[in-house]
Amino acid sequence: MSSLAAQEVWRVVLVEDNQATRTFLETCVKGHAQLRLAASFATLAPARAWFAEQGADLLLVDLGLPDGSGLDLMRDVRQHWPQCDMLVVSMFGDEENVLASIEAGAVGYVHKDDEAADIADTLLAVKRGASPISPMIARHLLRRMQPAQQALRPVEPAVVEVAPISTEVDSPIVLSRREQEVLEFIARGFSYAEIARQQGITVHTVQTYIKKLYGKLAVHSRSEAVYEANRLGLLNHFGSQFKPQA
Amino acid sequence: MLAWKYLRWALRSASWLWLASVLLLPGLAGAASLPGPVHAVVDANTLPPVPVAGHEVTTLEAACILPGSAMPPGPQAAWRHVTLPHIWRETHADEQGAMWYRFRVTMAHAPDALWAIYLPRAVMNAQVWVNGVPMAYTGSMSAPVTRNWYVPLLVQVPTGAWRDGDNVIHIKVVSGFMSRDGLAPVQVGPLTLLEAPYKTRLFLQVDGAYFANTAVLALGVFMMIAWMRDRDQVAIGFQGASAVLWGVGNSAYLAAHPFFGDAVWAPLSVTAMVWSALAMALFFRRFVGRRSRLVERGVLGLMLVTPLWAWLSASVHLIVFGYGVAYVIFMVCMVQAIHGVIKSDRRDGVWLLGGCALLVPAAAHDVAFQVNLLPFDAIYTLPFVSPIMMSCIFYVLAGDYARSRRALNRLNGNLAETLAQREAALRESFARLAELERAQAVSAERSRILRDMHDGVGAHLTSALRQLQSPQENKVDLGLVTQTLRDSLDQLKLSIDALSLQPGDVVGLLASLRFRITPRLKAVGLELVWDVADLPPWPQGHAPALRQLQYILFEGLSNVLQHSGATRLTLSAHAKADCLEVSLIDNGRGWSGEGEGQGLQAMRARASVIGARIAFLARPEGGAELRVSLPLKADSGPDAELDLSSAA
Repeated sequence: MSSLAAQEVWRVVLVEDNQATRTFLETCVKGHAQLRLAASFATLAPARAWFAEQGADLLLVDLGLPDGSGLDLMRDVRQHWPQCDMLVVSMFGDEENVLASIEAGAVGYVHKDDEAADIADTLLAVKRGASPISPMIARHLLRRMQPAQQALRPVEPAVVEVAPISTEVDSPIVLSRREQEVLEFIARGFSYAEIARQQGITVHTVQTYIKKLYGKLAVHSRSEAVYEANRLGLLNHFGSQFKPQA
Repeated sequence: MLAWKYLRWALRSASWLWLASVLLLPGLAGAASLPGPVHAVVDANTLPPVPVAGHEVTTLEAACILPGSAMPPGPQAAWRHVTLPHIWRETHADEQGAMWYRFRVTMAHAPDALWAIYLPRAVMNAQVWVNGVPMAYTGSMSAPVTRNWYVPLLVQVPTGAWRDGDNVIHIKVVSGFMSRDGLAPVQVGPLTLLEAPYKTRLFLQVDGAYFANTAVLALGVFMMIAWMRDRDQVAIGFQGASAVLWGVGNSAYLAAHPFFGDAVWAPLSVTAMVWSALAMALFFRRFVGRRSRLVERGVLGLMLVTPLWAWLSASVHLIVFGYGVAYVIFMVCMVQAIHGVIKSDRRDGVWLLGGCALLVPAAAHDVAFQVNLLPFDAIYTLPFVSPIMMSCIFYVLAGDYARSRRALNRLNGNLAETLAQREAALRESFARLAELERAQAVSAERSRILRDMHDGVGAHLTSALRQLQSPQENKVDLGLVTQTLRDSLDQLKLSIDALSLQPGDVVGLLASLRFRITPRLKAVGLELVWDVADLPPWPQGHAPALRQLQYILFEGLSNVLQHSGATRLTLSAHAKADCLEVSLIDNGRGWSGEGEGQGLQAMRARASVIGARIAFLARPEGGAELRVSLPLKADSGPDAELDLSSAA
């Protein structure tokens, strides 16, 4: 990033129904010179109306809103304002919610109990091309990318309980060797700095890999959706010559 | 007992016996009335002419005969006077070639209408001359002679051939290959009157016989196909073969114009007939469950030599002898079959008995016919009785098949029903079991979560509450309360991470722990050294055990953060020969602080629950080490008594 970009001020839209959390997040945004609070909403509808008119640089959205899911809003915004980076406000950063968010187009998430400075840092880091990822998410992605029998080694030990490896439709995500290595390091708990040292690359590069990975996941989920739609016969326009033989 | 059975079966077959007697006994009864031959040499003209009338049929029952010449001999030749039917063998043994028959008829006026001369039987072929004029004929009169030996001949005589008063009719009969040459009584009269008996006889001896024969052939082919699709049904195979061979042999006899010369044709037909009888004999044995290999091989061996015998036998006697052997075998096997049917009260057996009851007299009739015990113009019955007999047998076999099919269907039905019941029962019990397991799993999970909440979030929230309720209300330690609440949230996040950990995944556990506590370490400026190798799975590391490990390490970390005053913390994890070793090493004050006793006890207790060894060590360079060893073998764990293969 050039120094000019570094001084840029990013417009942030906030959607969070919990009053206290919203206020806290507003404070985080307002407290940083490079961030400007463009709008703040407690429900989905006004936020949608806002994005129908104009975009933003950053969207910080809670998933569970009184009038719907933040995932829907993210899908809309991704379509109309691809420049807008979206982050999810998550309570636990748990696998299920984070993955759903990534597939809806999110490039990161903040915890509700994070420190104010950390939240502002995360927002700016995302704008610089970084994306946060937890080892649990990394492990999940590695499992998804590999055939079941050569998934992460600590699988199916001699204990009686054999947990399902993955419950969703497993379809391969193609990663470069470097991306795969970075993901494996993260899965083993290494920090970005440690990984960068090990691999002889910059922290920024590591972060870029992660963001790319997020993008691939989102695209992947889109192609999955097309496939699924085709299978369900929703895209009759293209597949009309293949009549299902009842 | 058996006698009673025989009687019962005889009664059961009574209608068949009656049918046989009605159809065939009249023919047998006629056997006695064979006229004796006369052979004095006479002047043909001295015999009185037979008067014929214009409106009726006259049967000529006597003739003058003379073997030989190509043209009709004159009246002064050496004619002999015979009555018809005349069989050459009776007057001219070994005569081959031609025989002239001379008739004189007288009529008042030559007929206006078309007349005909009807030869019910002339063996093998015949030509009619009226007043020295040869009439039209079909077929060959010289070798190979057209085989009209069993075909009635009707010769139309043009009105101009007749004269008022006396007329002389010559009939030239030619012989053929091993035939009983001769001539049956001849009829003269208006064509219109002769057509009806001619047609009847033609049907019985030619067209009807062909028709019946075709039926037998078709039935035989049908049974052969049935056998081919189910080779175990040997009886059906034998019966099918018998029917086919019968049809083939009979056709060979019926054919007026053989495809091949007599040298091939005659043995072919003889062989087919003998084979047919033998195949049926084999069927009879199989039908009642007799399956002696020896007998079957013997009969099959006879079949093998049959063509040779048929081809080499020059004399009628040898042929008759061969037939005799085959028929004796046939009869013996048939008696065995009848005996078996009666003894075992076989279902549909009456059809077989009925068939035999028809067949035996029919065969007797035909044999009697062949050995001249019957009139020369009698009609063979077997061509018609055989199809009936074979149909009877097929009726029985088809009944067997239908019964077994019905039985199978019933069985299938029962089976499907039983299966459906079993399946339903099984599904129900599975459903109950699954429900039970689910309930158990839910309850286990519930108690785990409850314990988790009690030990983790609940404990911390309670602490936070107590801290806020401290007696010196003005001096609430906000930092402490915040810390406690953060602990509570961290515990919550760790327990959520634990939910998605794979069994035995210690590295994942450590990674998630680091991820969760990093903000805390950053806040206090504690440097973390990450020394975690890639570890093999921990065999005992099921979900509750992993959660216990999380507690132990979280407790250890809290101790370091709160009491040690350390600036650097190393988390190391390595695989040893028999265990996974996880250590928290700090550079703080070591294990001497107050109030740690309870915390350490709790960690020890948790470690013992999951079969791990725990050690609180002092580092030589100062600081403390919390070392947790997770055994890789089951023998030191709590499940030791369950592992029977363990030597220890």
